[in-house]
Amino acid sequence: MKVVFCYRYGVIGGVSTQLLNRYTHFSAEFDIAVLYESDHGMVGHFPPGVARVAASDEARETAIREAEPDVLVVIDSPSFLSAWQRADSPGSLILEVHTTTTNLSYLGELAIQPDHIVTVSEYMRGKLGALGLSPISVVPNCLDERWYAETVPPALGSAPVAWIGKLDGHKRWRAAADLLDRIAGASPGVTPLLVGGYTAPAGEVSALTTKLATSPALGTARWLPRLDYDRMPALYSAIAANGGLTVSTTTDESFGMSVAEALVRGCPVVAPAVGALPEILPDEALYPPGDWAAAADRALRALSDPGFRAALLSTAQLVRERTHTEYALAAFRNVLQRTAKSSKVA
Amino acid sequence: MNHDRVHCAYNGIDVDPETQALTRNRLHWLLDHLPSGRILDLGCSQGTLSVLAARRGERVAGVDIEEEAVAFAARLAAELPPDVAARLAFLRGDGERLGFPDGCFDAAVAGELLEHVNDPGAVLGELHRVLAPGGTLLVSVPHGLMPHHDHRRTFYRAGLRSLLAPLFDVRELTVLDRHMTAVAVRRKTPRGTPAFVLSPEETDFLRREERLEQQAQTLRDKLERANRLYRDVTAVNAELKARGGDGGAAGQDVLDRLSALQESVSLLSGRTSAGADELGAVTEERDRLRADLRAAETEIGLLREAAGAAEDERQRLLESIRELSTGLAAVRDTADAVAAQRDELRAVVRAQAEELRTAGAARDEDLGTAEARHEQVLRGLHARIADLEEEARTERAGLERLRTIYNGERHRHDLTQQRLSKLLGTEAKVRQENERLKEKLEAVTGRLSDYREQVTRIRSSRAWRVLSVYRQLRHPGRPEPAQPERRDALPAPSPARTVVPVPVAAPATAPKPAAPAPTSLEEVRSGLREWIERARDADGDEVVLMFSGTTYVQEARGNRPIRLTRVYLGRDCPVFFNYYRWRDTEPLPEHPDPLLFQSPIDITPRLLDEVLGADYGGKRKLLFASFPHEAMVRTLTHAASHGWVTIYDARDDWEEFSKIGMAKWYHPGYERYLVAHADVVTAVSAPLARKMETLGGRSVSVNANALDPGFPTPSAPRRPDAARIGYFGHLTDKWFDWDLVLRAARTYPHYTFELAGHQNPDLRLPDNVRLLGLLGHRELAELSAGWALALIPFKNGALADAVDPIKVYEYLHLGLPVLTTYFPQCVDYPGVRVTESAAEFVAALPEVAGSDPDLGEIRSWLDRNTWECRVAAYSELAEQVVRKGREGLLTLLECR
Repeated sequence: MKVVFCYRYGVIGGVSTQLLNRYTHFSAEFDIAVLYESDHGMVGHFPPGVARVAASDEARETAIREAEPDVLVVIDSPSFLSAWQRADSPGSLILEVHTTTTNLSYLGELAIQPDHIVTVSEYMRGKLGALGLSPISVVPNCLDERWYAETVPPALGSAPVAWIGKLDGHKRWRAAADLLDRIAGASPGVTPLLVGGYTAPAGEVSALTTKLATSPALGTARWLPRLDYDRMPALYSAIAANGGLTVSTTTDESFGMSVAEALVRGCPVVAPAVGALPEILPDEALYPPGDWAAAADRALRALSDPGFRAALLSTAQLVRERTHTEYALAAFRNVLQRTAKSSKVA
Repeated sequence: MNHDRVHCAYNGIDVDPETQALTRNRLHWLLDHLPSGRILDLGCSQGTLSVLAARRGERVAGVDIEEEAVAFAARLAAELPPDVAARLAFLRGDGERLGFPDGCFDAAVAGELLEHVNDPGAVLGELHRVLAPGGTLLVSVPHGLMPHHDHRRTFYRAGLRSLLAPLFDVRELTVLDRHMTAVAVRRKTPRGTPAFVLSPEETDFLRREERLEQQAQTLRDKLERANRLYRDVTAVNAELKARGGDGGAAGQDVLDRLSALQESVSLLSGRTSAGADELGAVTEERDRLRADLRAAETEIGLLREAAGAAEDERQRLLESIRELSTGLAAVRDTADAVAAQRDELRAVVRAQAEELRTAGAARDEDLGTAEARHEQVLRGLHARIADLEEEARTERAGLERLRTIYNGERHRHDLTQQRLSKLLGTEAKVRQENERLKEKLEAVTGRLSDYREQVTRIRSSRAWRVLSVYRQLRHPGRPEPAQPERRDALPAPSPARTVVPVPVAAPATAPKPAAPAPTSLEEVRSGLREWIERARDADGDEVVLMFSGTTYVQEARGNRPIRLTRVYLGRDCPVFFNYYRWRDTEPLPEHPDPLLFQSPIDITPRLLDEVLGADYGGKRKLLFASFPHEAMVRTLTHAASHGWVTIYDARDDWEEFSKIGMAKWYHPGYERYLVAHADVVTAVSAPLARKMETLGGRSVSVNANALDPGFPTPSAPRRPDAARIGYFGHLTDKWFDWDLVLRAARTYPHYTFELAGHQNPDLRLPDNVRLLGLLGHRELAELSAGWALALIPFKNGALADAVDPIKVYEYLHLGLPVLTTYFPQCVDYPGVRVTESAAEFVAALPEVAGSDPDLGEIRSWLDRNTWECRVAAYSELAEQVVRKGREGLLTLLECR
């Protein structure tokens, strides 16, 4: 069976990492190809000939036509849907939805009926169902074996309270900096840590460095604008081993990948009750969106109360099972087989 | 005979739409899960599923015990297209004794079969036999009690799973409306004999279902009886009415029969009344029972759901236990394998020990023989040594003779060498003189050019033309004094000051050149890759990324990043040098050293990934953030995570520079970030280091500016003129204290103040202040030989507080006493007088001018303050970082 995955950009991490996992596990069973609108260093991670860039509408149409897919999986990339139509709609169409942002708007005006919808959480199932889409299967994101590799956490001399994300309004980095300031102000043994933001506009970099320089308790804070994805498992383990935790200030999450990553590495998380986060976090970890006092209370309690830390990690095993490659990929394989078979029987 | 009518149900013949939908749903589920290959449809009934599978392209054998059903299926097949029919075969057969050979099917379906057969275990045994290894079995059975005269057992999930499990691995078991379906894979090795057994809970549940069914049946019977009675009574009534219609006939007979009929009617009326009452009671009873039935069915539904959920949970737990058992078995297997390997190794060790013992005995024997032989050889050697000693004595005598000859030759060689050294010394002086003359020539050429321009301007002026006309009028026929052929003959005016030659402007009529294209990224990237290869092979032990905000490396520039770069290049250490350019169309600079790669700041950020991630053959990697730029904020910790030692080198107080309108890029957040996150922070002065310490809350080293020992010295010994005072450097009023210099000049009119450097002040200068313009290092060195004193008259303030002027090292190198305004960093420098107030500065001037600095001390101090020493200090600081590792959260950058 020939399966073609289509995604907007090949960038290390996120959806592309999921595609690499799928290629690794499915390539013995299916003939896999990957198409990107543009590449930022991801194509080279696949064996030669597997992934390629189709930068224009015409190139996408030609690539799909030539691939003759049995199943075409389009992930958050409307341009591939129109290309598929122009290529005479070969094979079955699976529409995969990861985003929660405005990119979702095109789904309300779809001119075609996909054979199947795949998304990453029940929250997203509800959201897509409300748009009249069906049938929908939930296939969670998966974490590959490096997330289970052993690391040696260093002694950091203080408990880090970390925030991980891009410097944008969706992740609410300003609120995060203020929250870290509040936590560090109330607990002097804590070191705030921010990770991410390498590609942020200059204005945001300027604003963050000013905040770090002028907020009283952020004097000891460290900001790592960029850390290789391979280092993240060890980072979470080190935070956990030094009595720290991660906090999230996000406005919405289709799955909550960084939260899941932290939990898998045994790092407690405090996060707002938004999007799909209640599906992977226990009630103890969730605070009402915008209630920063509640967020700070939970974080401070996690820093001092071992029982509470254990409660924050009570869903970790569930998340490990759900994000395990065997589980997540088996679910996806099932969707692939059924979609292809249904189309043949029909 | 079970009177199966799947064909009708599937096609909606004589059935309600709901039944048709349920049947289709079930058959399609089976088809969806049916793998391709050779298929056995056991209990195929009217062959509906077999036909669907054949249409899909499978080869199917349908088997059923009912002859009539098989005949029906065969008729159905005969009506199919020939290619589909060719893939179908319908046979009559008993599932407990199939006539097929072993392993001849890839998959089998037993749809609604197991509830009908006598011995389901025997049927499953036969299916296991005829399926190939790994073959798939699909099963469907009614879920729970479904009354049917031919149903011999009732299935629930556990019962079905336990029946299949000995011979098949159940992969999926699901409930489809009133049926259960299962996907199972043939076990290679059976795990017991299949038998149909219900769990205690399922048995209880079945009893309950049966009781309810019985109640419902009783109610149905009662209702039937009541209906029948009602129909009888109605019929009798009708007959009576009919008979009453015939009562109009005349005669006695009629009267008699009427009388009898009246009696009968009376009797029947009574009976009808009683029957109606009874019917009413029965109807009420029936309605009540129907309500009970509905309630019971609702309860059954709920109980089924609960049982299903419990069964799922139990199956999940059982699955976990099985996986754990499998894991345990694997661990035990591994332990057994390790033990076996250990035993094998022990046996090998024993065998080798035995071999060793045998070899030892043989060796002892060989040793005896060898010792005897050795004794004999030794005697021969002693004799040979005696011969050689005699030979050596002869050779030594010859050597003594040769040594005498050699000493004579060496003496002659030393004399020649001395003469050569003298010649080389002369050559250096000649070269120096040559250089001096060249520079002088350039200066003279520059001046000449200036004068030519001036002459041209004068000649083109209105006054000159008027004067020419006047001259012609006064001396008609006399040639023009500024005509070209005579211009060369004019004697050159004596120079008032040296001027750097200015390139001649292009003629106005020359065509405008095409706008230069921006530098291509690919071009730079290609050069970078070549540089990385050279860097990997370079002999130096460090590689440097110098993120400088200055111009590119060029001989005329001597700022700190360029000076450090020169030292690294001298040590064969490759340097990636980021520089500032005004436009992206400026061409890339060239430099003779292949270990230097220069990249403009508009391109560098796009190269950093490649530079930081490259392999430099194990060299220590140093990143200098030479000014607090945003690109460094984004990159610093990323570089550290790739093994670079990051250094923020505070070479000036940029905040103060930004306050006077310079360093417009300055952002306090960036500098604070770099100070807090760099592995090493250095500052050029102690006050600046203290400021950085306050900013970043960490310790900061002072690594001051230094001397380039290659800075020229005067070609002749110093002959200071007590009245000449000098300065070289920038003359901007942003920091150069013009007021102070003018005050000194007015106070000491007999002193001449010679100032060399950029910018002319918009001031009326006294006669004893001379501006020399921009001079080269060589010229400055020669000029300084006549100065009694060198000045650094900067405005006091935070900017000066942080500065360590490079020129102070150069002044001292030239042997000049130095007088400065307030530079805290220079207070302890030998030969330097630091003053604070203007009065103190002015008062100290004659005193310092007449002083005689301790040149030995100064030379010794300068030897300890060269750029080489600064680079060595950075190597030591970097070594400490590598040795000690990072601290605090920055340790996370080394996490793996």
